[in-house]
Amino acid sequence: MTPEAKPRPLWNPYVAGAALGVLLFASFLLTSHGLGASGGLARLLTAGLDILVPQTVDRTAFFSNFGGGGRAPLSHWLVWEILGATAGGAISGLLARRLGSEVCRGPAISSRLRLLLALLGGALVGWGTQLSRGCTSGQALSGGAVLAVGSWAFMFAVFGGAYLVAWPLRRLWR
Amino acid sequence: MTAPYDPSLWGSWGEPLVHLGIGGTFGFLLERAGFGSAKKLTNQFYLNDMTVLKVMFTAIVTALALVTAATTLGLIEFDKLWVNPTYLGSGIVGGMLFGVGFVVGGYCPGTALVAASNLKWDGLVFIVGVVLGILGFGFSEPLVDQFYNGSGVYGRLTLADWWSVPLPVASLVAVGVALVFFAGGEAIERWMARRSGQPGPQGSARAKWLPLAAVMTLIVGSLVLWKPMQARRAATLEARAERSLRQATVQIDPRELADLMRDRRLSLSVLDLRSEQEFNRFHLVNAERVPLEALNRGRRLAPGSVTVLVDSDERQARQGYRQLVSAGGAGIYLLSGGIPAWLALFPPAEQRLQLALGADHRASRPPSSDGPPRYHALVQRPGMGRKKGGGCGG
Repeated sequence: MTPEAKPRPLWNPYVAGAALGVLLFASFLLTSHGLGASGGLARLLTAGLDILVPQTVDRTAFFSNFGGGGRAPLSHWLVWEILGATAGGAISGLLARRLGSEVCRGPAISSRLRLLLALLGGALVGWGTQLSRGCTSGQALSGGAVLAVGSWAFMFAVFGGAYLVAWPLRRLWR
Repeated sequence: MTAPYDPSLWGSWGEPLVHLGIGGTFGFLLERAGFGSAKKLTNQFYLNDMTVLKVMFTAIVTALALVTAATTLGLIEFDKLWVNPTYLGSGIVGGMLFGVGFVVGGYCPGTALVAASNLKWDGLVFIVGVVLGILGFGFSEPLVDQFYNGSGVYGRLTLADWWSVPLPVASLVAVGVALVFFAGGEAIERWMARRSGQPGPQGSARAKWLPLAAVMTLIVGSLVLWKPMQARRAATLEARAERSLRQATVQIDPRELADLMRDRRLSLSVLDLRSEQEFNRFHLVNAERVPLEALNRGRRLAPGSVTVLVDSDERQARQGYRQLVSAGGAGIYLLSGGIPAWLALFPPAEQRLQLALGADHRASRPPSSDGPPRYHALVQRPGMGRKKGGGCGG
């Protein structure tokens, strides 16, 4: 392995966390709200549906909140934020030499199974984020930083749900 | 001008750019922490690497300390910040499903974006899964609607509200929780490393002391300054309240109140400060009886809403106005001349006032509009252009 190909070390978690905290505060200061991710995906989805099946968007209560009638699902800060996050992640990975084609998986499972599980887990997470009105960014991190009771409950529920199944599912990652 | 700033202030290009910048930094930092890899993330649940816990709680207490200090110093208005409304039931069940999906799929939505942009194909597939999950929720929402919208609904509720303590006190508790998690997490990492004979995760545990020292300084400083700063703020607001009362810029005409009551776009509360007996004899429709002593108790005024205080001679209403404004309330008015002035303009059938009819009088409702206003309007309403005069410009 040539020295150039070696990825740079990660930031210390406490340093990365503090930087993230300053960013979160800046977000509150400048825009009155915290960060978000899943909401942006919901809007991208609605925009897609609005092109394919506009009547369904207008008739389904959930989607009409984002794109019903004359509403433009994409003109929302969450959409800009996830575009930014995608770009920022790529820039960081490129600079740290971590950008590269790969399937992250545990040693005991095949790439194909890993992708299938990513789809399944993603679907669970997607359904869950909508029930809980936000994900780890929009609910746990952002609500947690302004001491929202529901956000702290959500955060502990996430860890609770994860630890409940982590051991039975250890073959996926160990 | 105090923060938070109105995002529309940034203009049509500024607003997307600010959010692109915030999002870009967010993605950059997630990647730097190692969150572009499902292996790194799921290590959290197999206890050998507590990076997720450390990053999350450092971020939360850092932002919290800055918010607390800025609120204490009056640089930011906490009431204007978006606080996720609390829905306990759906939040907890959704959170647990999310946790299960996290272990199965290896990511959460934000980190999957970062993974996908670094060409981790599992991250991209995970996002496809999330989108399908959201699609599924959209169609199954009617089935869970009652639980989704009706289980443990508390609205805007912070730990400080719940415990009835000042913000810095609740912040201090949160930092205590984070400290316990950091110490516990590091101890578990050491134990796992000993057990497996492999080195623990890289990154010195000492790095936490600098951010934590800053966090503690901000919160302890806020704790010390909270009372004097609140008193100073109250004094400033009280002076402002006195000025408004003296200049009669908040005493609204009964005809203006009638217009407000007819305006369906407006979130209006009419608070009646009179005795229960008087209230039972006659009150305005949708008015809420609140004794003066209970006026400030647990009352949170929604931004943009209008509150009108009503009594029998303005004396209590003025006192209530001072109380609400000194506590930081906005959009507060009082009915000029009180209920007698209303009744003089919209007279009821006289003998019926002896009965306890409450709001069952014709005079309890605003009469239908009779043309352009013939009073000096004081309340700024949505959709009402500033200084535009009457007429219908469309």
